[in-house]
Amino acid sequence: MRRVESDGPGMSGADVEAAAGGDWRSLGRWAIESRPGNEREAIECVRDGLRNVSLAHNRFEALMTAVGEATMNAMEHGNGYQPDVPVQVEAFLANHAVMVRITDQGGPFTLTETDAPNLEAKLSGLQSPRGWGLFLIERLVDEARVINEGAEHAIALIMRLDGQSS
Amino acid sequence: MPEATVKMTVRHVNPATSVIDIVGDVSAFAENVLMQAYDEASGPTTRAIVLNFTELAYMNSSGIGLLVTLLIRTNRQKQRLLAYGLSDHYQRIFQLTRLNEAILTFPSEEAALAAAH
Repeated sequence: MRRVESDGPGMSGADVEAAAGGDWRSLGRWAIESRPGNEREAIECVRDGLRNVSLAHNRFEALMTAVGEATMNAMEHGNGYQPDVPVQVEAFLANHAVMVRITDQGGPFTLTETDAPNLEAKLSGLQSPRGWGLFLIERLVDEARVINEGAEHAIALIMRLDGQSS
Repeated sequence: MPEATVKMTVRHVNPATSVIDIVGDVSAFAENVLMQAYDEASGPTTRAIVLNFTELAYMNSSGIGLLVTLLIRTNRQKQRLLAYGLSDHYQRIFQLTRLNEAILTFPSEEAALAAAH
């Protein structure tokens, strides 16, 4: 997976869409209340929004899991599970790829692998059993881009339509 | 916190092996249900616990964390944890997290039970 992180003030949403090389068309936008478990609602919204997109089944399911994990992070770490501060989810389609952007109000954010989960460390008590979310996101999509715009931060999950099944 | 959207049923196949049938979602909300099922499945003679994922609807990173917690418990009891019925997608999740190295996975209950003996 290619990963792009923003420096300083961060890439804007428009920068990301331009950098991704796409003529992006929105397929739907949804506001998800920041409540535990609501990532399932985000997954179903995006699943419905992408219903006519031709993406291999296993890659589609990988994207859905990444959407769920990113929404969980946004609800918990970005919005602090405040129901009145929704997570914004928007799906886009270009000729070569689909993109799902998940936005919260948590301020600047970067992806890091410094705390990459390690199963042996978890089994021996050196790491918490939890902490798999970002690890999965990074490995399930072709590209994850972090977008920082003022108080908002977002992650854009990109899957190429011609990507290889795995 | 929302209620668990999962049901787990325990079958004692023989004195050494129990199967936990999982129907629904394995997420953070499944913690109590999973740990109660393990307590019911595990006895003094239990050497293997088999997880049946045939009816798994959804599993997220919190659910994976629960499986790690369950592994810690089974390791302490010198029990083996096995699984069958994972979809291709969740088999990939097991490979990415390397859970498949600690929880041996099988295509069928027969194969899992054969390996458990």
